[in-house]
Amino acid sequence: MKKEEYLKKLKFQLIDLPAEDLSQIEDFYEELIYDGMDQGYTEEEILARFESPEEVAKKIRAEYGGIVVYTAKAKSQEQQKQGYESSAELIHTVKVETENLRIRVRTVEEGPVRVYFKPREGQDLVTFEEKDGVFSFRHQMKSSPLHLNWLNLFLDFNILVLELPMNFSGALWLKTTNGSIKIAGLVDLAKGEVFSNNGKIHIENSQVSELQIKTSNAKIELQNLVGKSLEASAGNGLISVKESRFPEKLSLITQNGAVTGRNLISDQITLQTCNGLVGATIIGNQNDYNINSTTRNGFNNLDNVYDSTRHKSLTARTHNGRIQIEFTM
Amino acid sequence: MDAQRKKGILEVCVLAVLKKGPSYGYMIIREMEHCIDISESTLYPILKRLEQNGSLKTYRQEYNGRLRKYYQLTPEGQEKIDRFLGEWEELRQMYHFIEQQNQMTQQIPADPAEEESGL
Repeated sequence: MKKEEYLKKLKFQLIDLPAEDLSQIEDFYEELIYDGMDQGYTEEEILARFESPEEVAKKIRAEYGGIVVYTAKAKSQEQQKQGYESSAELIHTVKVETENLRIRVRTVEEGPVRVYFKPREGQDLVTFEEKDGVFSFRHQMKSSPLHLNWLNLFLDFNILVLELPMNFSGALWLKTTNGSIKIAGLVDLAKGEVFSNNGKIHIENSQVSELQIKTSNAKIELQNLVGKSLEASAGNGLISVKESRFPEKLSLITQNGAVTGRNLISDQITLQTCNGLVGATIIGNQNDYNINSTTRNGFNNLDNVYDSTRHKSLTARTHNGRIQIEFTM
Repeated sequence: MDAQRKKGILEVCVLAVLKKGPSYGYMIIREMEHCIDISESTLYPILKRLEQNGSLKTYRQEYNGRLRKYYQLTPEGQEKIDRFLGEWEELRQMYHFIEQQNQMTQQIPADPAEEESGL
């Protein structure tokens, strides 16, 4: 075997590793080969002493702590320009669904869509598919007696990391049961749908044109977000939104918990809860808004007004709590 | 030997090789052959980990028309070596104790009841 062939095979074995790591490994082995040749050995002799590319890959992967990296093969816009040899498809939708995992979404400057996850033997079942521009990752827990499941949850909360390139401008669909979701740094998402049954959702420093968030039993915390429309609903948890702008629609609805906003910008605002305070500072002129505010059991600082010449609207509702909303402009 | 422990010791071995000066992949493997046979695929992750935790630093230098990567010991790396050698002293004492104890023959304690009845 010639060294080019060995290196190519090695690279192929580790193709799903981060590109930087892959080139470092390749450099390392290439140098070893050159150094061996400088010492007077032939290529064949040197390569014969190496382990097979498969063996090497296995040992190096073990170093990553068993973390498996699922990488999209389709090119992103940037990669297309560099002429990689995969198909010309673009990933336009990323779907990640998990059971009992925490999800972390982060962005990288460039690169393919990637999921980092460490499957536990006998516990985690993963299906991963990439088709027609849809990157689809599904995780399930292998069935086990209910009590055992809860014990595992308590002892060993596993985490999944989704990595998106900064220029990813498609749709993101995330769902987990029993785990928190944390997202930061999305630059240009067209659509985001984020669901957690029983876990906190935290999103910050992102731009998402249409953002939909739902959790049934935990809080929603949003900070420094920009887009066109935001719909956040929590069944049983507070909603807190800071420094965010969604001109077309900003709707925060929960059953049981406070709804608070700081420096919100939107033309159509709904802040609603059954059991908790509704408090916000809105960057805008109160006189531009039609105001519909009701509380059964608490102080309300707003005067309701309807005027057909006003084009913006604010709806603030709670049964059991006060309403305190200030306009700053 | 326990795999984890072995890994830790191998790391200190690699650092010790660098004590007498910066070295490169091929040379490090050759040097380590004095102590233990280590494969390239074992060395690579060790070097990477040591760089990540600051025990060594890397630089490139021209050699024979290519840029060779050199690994160099850092003060933190030296601390790691010192710590290992210090722990070894403690380990040696415990080894000695276990070895001694292991050589004793079993002594069955006398049964007080038997003694009283004069048996």
